[in-house]
Amino acid sequence: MSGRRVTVTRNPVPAAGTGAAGPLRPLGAGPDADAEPDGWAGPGELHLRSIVAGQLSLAGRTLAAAAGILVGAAVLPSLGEYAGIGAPGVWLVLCLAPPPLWALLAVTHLRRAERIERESVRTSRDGG
Amino acid sequence: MTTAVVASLLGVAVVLLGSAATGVVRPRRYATTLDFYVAARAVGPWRNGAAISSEYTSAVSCLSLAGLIALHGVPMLWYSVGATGGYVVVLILVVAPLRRSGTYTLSDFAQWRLGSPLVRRLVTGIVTVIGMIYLVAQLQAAGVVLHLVTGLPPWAGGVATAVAAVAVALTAGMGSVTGLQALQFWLKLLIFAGCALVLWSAWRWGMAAPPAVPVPPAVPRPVQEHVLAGTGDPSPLGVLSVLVSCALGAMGLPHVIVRVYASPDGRSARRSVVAALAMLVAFYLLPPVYGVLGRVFAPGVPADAMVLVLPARMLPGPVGDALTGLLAAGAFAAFLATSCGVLVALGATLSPGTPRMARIARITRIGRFRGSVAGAALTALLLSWAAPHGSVILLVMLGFGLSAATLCPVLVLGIWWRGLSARGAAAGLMVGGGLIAVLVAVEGLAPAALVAGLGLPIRYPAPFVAPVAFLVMVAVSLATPGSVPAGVSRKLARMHLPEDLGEAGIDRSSRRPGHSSR
Repeated sequence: MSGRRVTVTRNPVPAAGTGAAGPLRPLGAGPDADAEPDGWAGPGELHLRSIVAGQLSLAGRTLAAAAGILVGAAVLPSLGEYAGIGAPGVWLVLCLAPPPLWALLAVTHLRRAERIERESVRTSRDGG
Repeated sequence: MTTAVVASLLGVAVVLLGSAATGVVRPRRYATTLDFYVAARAVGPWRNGAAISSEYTSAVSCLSLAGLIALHGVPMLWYSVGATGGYVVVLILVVAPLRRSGTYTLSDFAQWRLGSPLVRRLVTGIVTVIGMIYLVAQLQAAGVVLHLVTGLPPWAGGVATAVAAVAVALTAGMGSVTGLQALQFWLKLLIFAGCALVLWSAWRWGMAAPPAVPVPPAVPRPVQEHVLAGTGDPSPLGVLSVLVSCALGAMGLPHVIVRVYASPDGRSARRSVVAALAMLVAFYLLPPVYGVLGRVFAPGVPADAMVLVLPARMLPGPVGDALTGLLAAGAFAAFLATSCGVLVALGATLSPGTPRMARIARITRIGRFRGSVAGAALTALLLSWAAPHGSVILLVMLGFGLSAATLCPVLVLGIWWRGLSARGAAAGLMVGGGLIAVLVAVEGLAPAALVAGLGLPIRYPAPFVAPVAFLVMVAVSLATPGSVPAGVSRKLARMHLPEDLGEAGIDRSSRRPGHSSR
């Protein structure tokens, strides 16, 4: 280890292509919280942060879509009354509309989550 | 003995004896005890998905849900929407990281992630309570159904289901149980869909006429219909309470979570849940069909009995009797599949609990597992006789609510937030579990006027307590950074990095406590 000191003026730049979305520090931890006793840092840490940020972002979007389905189903009886489709129509829509939407949402999430992982593997292999 | 009774007894006997024989006569052989627990981690997504769906479509999905739709109408359609939605949340937040963690039960996960025996004990206690709630519900429903269709005493249904479930769980191991449960799912889907088609066609083609005057319920021992923790309440807040419980509680069901580890890796586990969701979507189209038929042909019949009363009301005679027998067989397939799954999960959760005693008595790990399974079944059986009989959906939703307020925060924060500390998790578990217990006890024991005066959290605990448990866990974790366990980055890496990266030193084989980093 060299004894020469340098002035640090900014945060280190993440490795190209990792898409690291800023530091993911424990909210309640001190500045050295990432200095793990088992010593996990460097490219592996950047990779982890990148993939967790990507998956969290995807999870947020899918959860918002799921909430949309639930809210849509909640207001449906009122809308049906307003639109005059009647009780049988509301029953039919509530029975038949949400199931395929859930399935579509799950398949879409699965594909995107796997794509994030594939890209992560590719980035790791390309960039070391 | 009428033909309806003969058909029902035959259907129930075929399901129970056939399932027990499948498990007992031809159990799979495993090289190691871990393979016994996790089916050599070689179960494909579709077979695992069918087994997950089978465990999830319990007495509630097959009987109570349709009965509630018949009694209360449109607001109860939300229950099936929420039940499937819960699996979307499991897929989004939990399944792949949990499989990659390599831990086997929720207790193992808590110990591995937080390194705290206290948190492990709290999680084990909560898992045991949820498992017992589920088991008691299945055994009580089995008693009600057998009594309804054959006139046999209710305890006989519970005993028959418990004995068959214990026989399968003790001898079969995860591999045979998975195959059996997958088979039971397709059997249930075929029976309930086929009977619905026949009954609906009979109605549409004029072969069954609705009663001119309301017919009194033909149940020898009517179950009580009431509201518990928001379940059964058709008001918007009651529906919200059930939706929150379903969405956040599904991830903490012990019998569903141990299934994750039968998959070879995180990607396959994720696909298993999507396959399960596709099957559940198909299955949950059926309760509304029975609900509509029940509103027309069996108004006022208690929720748990409505589906089984329907064929005799619509098609009196041999056809109705045969359909009743088939539906009784399908119902018992549901009781057995869920009971079996819960027993395996409870056995795995409870068996590491007394290693010192086991060493003294020279009991092997499999021996401890079998002892735990038998003990759990016996306890559940006694509780099912002692506990007051209500609609089973009330009990099961209580389990979902408890899971949403305790295990959900631990799982979500443990998987996604590296700042979760052991003290934070313990505080959240105690506050969430304690609040649910107190609120439900007050609702059940206090006079109605007092419950009404105490406000909304008493009647609808889940939407209030789950956020409180999350907040407590975060706040206490922020205040106690010293109890954040060491090596969080490595643990998060194990959970989130795909297997293809082949991280050196990451062993994702399913681990029992003895193999974990404890």
